[in-house]
Amino acid sequence: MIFTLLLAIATISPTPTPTIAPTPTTGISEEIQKIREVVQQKVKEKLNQISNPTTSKKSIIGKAIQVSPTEITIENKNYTRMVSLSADTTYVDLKRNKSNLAALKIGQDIMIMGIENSTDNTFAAKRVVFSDFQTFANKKTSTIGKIVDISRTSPIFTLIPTNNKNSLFQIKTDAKTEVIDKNQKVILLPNLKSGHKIIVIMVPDPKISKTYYAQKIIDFDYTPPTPTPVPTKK
Amino acid sequence: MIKEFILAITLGALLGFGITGSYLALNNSKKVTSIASPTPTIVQNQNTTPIPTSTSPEPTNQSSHTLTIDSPQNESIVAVSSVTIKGLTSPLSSIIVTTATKSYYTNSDDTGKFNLDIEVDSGPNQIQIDSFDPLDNQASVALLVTYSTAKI
Repeated sequence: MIFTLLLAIATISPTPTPTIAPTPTTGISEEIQKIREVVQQKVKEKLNQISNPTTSKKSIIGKAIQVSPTEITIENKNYTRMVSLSADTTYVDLKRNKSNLAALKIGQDIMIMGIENSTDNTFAAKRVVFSDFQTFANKKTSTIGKIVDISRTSPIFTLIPTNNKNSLFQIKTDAKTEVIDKNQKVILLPNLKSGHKIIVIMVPDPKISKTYYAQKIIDFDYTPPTPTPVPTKK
Repeated sequence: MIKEFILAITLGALLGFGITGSYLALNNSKKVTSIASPTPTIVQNQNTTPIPTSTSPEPTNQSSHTLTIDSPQNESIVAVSSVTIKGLTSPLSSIIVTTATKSYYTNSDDTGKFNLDIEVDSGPNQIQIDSFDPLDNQASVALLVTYSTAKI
């Protein structure tokens, strides 16, 4: 009897009932709201496209590694990129004469000017200029460091760069080397002293490792000579 | 005696099942309400891709010293020979800008901003920009800017 009673109680115990979703009494207004949101989103996208155009004029350089009647693939140290060609793409050879696609050989350095579409990451070539990268290569490099030795017999000094104190650079100077102080005032080359902190803009000597030609030097430790007081006559 | 016993069991069972049932029901409803709507993620579009420098000596990259160039954009085409380099770096840094034929020097202000007018040559220009902070840390950015009046 007790068992029956317990069973009966167990069956009437409160069990979690699934919550019933509210009936779509406002179904139409919800649909309208959804449509509004979609329209707002589309308008926002269009406005964004207008204010931030996805196409821009660009110029890229690289070596032609693949050439087809419709595409050129170029490669540089940062990327490999396919560029589309069209009937209105113009070609200019190394002598700045009008050329054509047939004259473009694999391995040729080229500069391509055209329209980049950042949305689909395409590049439409408008002008392909055959180039020689050596003619516009920027070989200059800048470093900061301390002069540790200045030669008395030749226009050369030794620099220890701050970012690599185990390294030594031989820096050659000549009459074209421009020397300025931190306030951009021109100073004379003999004012460079051992121990001075400098930034040097230089190009490497192709023949000797770790040897450079200085083009511009900024001397941070140069102090202009103070004028000596002239004794006044009594 | 038996009646009281049965009554006590009944009341106890009712109370026990009631509490258990209520707890389970409450727990279940909590699970339903905890399903949150996914939050939209914002994807930032990085347009500028500065070319890393490959010149030696290597600049140091271990500090927080940074250099960003606002204009001109890498691989852009300009129709005039004068270009203003605008950027942001550490405050009071020394800024060196070089092209194949010229070199320039300026300083960033106390907020790190700098502007520098430079002259570019006809055709492609590899512009190297180096920033040295007061602790001598170096940050570099290389840009390609083409000076051309050709119609694109």
